[in-house]
Amino acid sequence: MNMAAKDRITSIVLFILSIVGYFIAKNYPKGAGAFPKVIFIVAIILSCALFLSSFLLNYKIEKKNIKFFRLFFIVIFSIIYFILFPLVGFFIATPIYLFLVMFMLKYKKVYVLIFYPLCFTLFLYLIFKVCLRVPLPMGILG
Amino acid sequence: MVHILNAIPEIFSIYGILLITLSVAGGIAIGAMPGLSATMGVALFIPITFAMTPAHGLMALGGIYIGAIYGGSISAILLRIPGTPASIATILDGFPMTQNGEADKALKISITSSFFGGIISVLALLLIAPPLAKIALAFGPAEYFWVTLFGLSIIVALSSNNLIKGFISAIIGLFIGVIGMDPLIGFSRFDFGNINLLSGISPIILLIGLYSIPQALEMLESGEINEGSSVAKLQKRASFKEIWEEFCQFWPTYLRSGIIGTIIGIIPGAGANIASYVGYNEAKRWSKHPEKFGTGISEGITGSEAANNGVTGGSLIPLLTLGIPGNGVTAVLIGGLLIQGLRPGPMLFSENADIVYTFMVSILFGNFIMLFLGYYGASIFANVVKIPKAIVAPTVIVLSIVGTYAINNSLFDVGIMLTMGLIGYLMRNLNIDSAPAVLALILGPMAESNVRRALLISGGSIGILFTGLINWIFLIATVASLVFGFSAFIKGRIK
Repeated sequence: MNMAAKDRITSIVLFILSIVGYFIAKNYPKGAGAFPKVIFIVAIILSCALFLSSFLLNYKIEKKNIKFFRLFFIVIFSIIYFILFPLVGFFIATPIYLFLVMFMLKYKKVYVLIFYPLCFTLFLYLIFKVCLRVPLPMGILG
Repeated sequence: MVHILNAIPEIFSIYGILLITLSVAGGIAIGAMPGLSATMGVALFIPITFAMTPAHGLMALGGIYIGAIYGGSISAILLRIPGTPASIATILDGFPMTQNGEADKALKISITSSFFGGIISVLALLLIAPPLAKIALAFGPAEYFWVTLFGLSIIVALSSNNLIKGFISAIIGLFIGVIGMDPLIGFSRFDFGNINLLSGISPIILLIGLYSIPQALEMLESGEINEGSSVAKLQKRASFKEIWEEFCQFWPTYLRSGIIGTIIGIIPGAGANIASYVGYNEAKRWSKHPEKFGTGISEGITGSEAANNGVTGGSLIPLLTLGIPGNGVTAVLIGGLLIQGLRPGPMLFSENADIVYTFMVSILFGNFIMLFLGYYGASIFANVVKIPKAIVAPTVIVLSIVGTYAINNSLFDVGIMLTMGLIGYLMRNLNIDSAPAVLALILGPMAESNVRRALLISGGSIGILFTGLINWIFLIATVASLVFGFSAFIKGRIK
């Protein structure tokens, strides 16, 4: 999709959200609603301006060869890690997450794959648990 | 003066020296690593400094800031990749010098220039900030409203090649800023029934998300990620005498770029990358051999590097005196000050003078540490580019998750941080610069509470916003920056 088309979609989404936001803010008490209302009115104007500008502007054509599959997995892995670390414990989830991500990114050096996640987790343990005494979730270790 | 003397024992304690050395070294390594910026470094380290005393925390963050801005030049010179956007113009002459076999000289010129620029800017900070804070104490809510609006307008005008998208970015930041309790009457807005959103979202959490996750994802989105870059061995060593002779010959460039950087730092919205370009161009304009620029001339490195480190002290002036962040790093620092329980603004100098002076003097001292580390160790720091992105990116993600969690022990915060990170990545792909959003996030609530306070004082008459010289100065400056931004946009982009 080219940037002009992306801009049109962005402007439509922004337009709809701003209308919704405006009507929510309309019900707020006088002082509290004024600033949000101004924000949404400006946002509505901007979304129209962006829509119109997508027909008028020069767009430099940039080709980026994005590997969506790779990114998609990183995001999914990170979300699973975020959900799991409170349950299984930070110091178990972290090395597994790091190992799996590096493995999935096809990192080849086996000793780094194994030792880096462990060493980095140990480092985090020393910094956050020992030095800063942050109560990180310990899960089954706790 | 008393405050400066009070700061000395804190800084020159063993803990203080160690802390500053480690943070400057960490900053240089972060800066030298392409993909990690100074802003991200400071954002990721805020949770770690959270447990320190405010003075120590700020010392560490200041060290990371100056180190990272300098560190970007190492990969710019050796690899032709700017480690941070601040070193963008350093490439122009830095890499040709490496190709000519003068890498060592280029690195040493870069550190001496960064040091010199840094020192000029810290001296400016120490001289300008205290009297300016006194003036700022006289600012009422109306003046503050215009100052914040001016800051917003200039960042929108400067930061984006599409003015409309700059505004959209600012609007996104303004919206996020209104989430939670209203500043005057305590009415909860846009909390979507979620109790965690009642008190609003702490800016630092949003900033960690916005500055670390998109970068980590961008590192992985294309290209080679499993091999680091290789660094060529330094061939010809440059002697101290050679560097000293360069300095004696080109000292006006050092001085000029340092001052340019400091001034650009003071202006909200303009960051170290702009300073780097302006410093380089001015060095070229004033040079006796402008035709040699771009072929590997040390003056070019000085022009860029003295200017970008000049920004460091300069950008702290509006931060410490007005509580107004001028760039990404200072926006993050505001978040850091807030979680330490300090309120940025002119009161900082009267209420927490010891902390502020310790911070400023520690940056002065940090520049000397940086000089030492950079002069003797630049080639060691260069090795960070050998670390493949497949390791760096997941490490950044883990650090941002654990760091965010550490601030409030809240998983909800981590979720917000990740969401913000994904929004930030989406914005990048839509070519919407996130800088206006970041500043709007901090400035928006300030603007709102000040304008409403002003209207309360005046009994609802908006005349209060247009009385007095200071109000008019900032009003005109706001309009002027928008007109400038708009005309540049129309000229540059319309078919």
